[in-house]
Amino acid sequence: MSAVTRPLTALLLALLLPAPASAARQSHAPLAPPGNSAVTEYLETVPNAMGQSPPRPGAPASGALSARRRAALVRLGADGRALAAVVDATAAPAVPGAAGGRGSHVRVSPAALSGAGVPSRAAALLAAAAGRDGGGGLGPALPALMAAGLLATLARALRRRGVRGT
Amino acid sequence: MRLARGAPRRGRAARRRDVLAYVALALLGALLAAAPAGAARPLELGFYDGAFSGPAGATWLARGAGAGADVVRIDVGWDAPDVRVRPAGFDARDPADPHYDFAAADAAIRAASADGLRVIAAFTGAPRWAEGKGRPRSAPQGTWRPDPRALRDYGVALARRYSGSFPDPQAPGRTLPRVTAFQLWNEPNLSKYLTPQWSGSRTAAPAWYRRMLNAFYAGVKSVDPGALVVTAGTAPFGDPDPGGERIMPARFVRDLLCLRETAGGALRSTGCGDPAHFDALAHHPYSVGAPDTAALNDDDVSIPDLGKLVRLLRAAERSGGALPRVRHPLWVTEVGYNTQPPNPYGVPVALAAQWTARTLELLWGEGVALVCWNTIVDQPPVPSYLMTSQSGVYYLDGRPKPTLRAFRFPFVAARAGRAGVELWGRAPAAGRLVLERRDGARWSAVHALVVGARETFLVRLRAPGAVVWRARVGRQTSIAWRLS
Repeated sequence: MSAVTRPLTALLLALLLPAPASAARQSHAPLAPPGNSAVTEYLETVPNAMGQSPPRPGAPASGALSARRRAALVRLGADGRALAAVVDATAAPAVPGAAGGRGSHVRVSPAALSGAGVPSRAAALLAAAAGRDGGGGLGPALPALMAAGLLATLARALRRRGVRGT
Repeated sequence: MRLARGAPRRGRAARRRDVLAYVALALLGALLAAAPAGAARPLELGFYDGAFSGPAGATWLARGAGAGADVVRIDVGWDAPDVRVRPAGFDARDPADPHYDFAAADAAIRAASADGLRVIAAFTGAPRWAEGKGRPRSAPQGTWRPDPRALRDYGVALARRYSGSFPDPQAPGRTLPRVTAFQLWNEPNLSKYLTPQWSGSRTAAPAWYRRMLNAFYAGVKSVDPGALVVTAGTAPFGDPDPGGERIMPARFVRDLLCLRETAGGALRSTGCGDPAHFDALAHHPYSVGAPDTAALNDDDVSIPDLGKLVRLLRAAERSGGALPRVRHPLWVTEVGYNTQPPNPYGVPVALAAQWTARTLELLWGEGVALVCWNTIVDQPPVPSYLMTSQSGVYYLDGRPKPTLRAFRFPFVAARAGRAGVELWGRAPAAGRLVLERRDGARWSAVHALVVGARETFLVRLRAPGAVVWRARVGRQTSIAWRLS
């Protein structure tokens, strides 16, 4: 590793490593057993880098309940808020063109509930580092920095090869 | 010379070792051959359902027995006056004291016993006089620092009433049945059932529950040393951060059993002065998704994660944090899946049948000795499906679900090697158990063994090409299992 790339790599590692931990402290996404009956008891609250985003792709966090119903639930206190979270977590994604809309197509996909909403470790690392959860990181600057580091390394390797070849 | 003399001597020793090895191998082979084909460690099954204590309790208990249950978990409550001050003249140790109302519990236990079911008598929630002082409004009633002395007294009362020699108030000249296991509280790692959960960043509920448990244990054992005291089943998930409403179950059990985990992952005793006394450790490993789905947090415990609790239990048995110093069994006193229909958010009922069988197999494989299914019958969806359980093996209208068949005759087939298959199950009746593979539209017998009623079996076969399997005893067949 060259004198140029070594500090850059160290900087990247230093930025990347603490990021998931801070994300874990700041954001928890709930997962629920299918048809979860007890609302608060059996929610699996998983630290992840996606903040309070719903645990399944396509299930909008605020779209499953009307604003009026959500407000009514929130007025009920902790249990109401938890119920709203469960409704969000178990809402089916909107089916384009489906007659009857979401309400008639609600169906829990166990596979989706069990894992699809949880990002892979690499995705979590990148998301946390990029600061998509608003919990730290350099935001879009970090991927740019990483790309620059990669390009610098490649350029240096190519130059070396060129020097040897002459 | 020494070498020349020693050489033949070493040769004789080597031959002797060879002979001993052959004898050992032969003995091992004989032992394996003599082992009953397919017989495996037992698994007791049962149900937990509030309906057992309700008006239709006898009906559902009879159906539970018919579904192959050995045991039922019945909520007997703590039906003493719910007033701020303990009533004058109330002898809480006397099960005949008129302040107690055991009518519903008596009826359920009487009916269960008549159906041949053993009973786990469970209760949660304290009357107001048995709570600690200063319950905050945020703490649900009955959860705030339940008084260990009151629990000891109630343990005495329960053990006396259900000792097998207490006169049955409904049947002069007869006695109430004996209850063999008492379970103290429900899911004490949730603030819904026990408060406070935390004290700042430290757990508070495990140490308080340990005081409750030891007092209750002492009360029960002072009357009936043979009765079992079971810990409250812990809920599967907690909050990641301290100070919330829940404690992760492995953390709860670690603290309950006076253990701490070092930075290197080793378990050490914290040397608490009042180690926990109990006869079985219970847990409720509800799963997010399929039964094989492990919990994502280290201290949460779903179905495939029970090893986390077993590890703690065994460490505590060694360190003196789990008394008496015997090997404590692990019980699952609640598990289940809400099904669709009727719950629109539930697991499709045919899939739930497979999950039921797979759950029982997984739990058995993890060394669980007893599983209570929650529930036998669906609850009315009032106020909503999300707030109630549709995990029964019967629909609310009394029709059986496919999960009933899977509970009564659980059977799972899994690939074992390139051409092998491993078949696990629990026979619903005694007789000749036949393992069958599907060939086109017909079933062909591949292997047979003799089983006892409710006996588990585990058979490994070479069966290249076979994809769909089932088991049969007499006219009863298991659900079919397709190899993936």
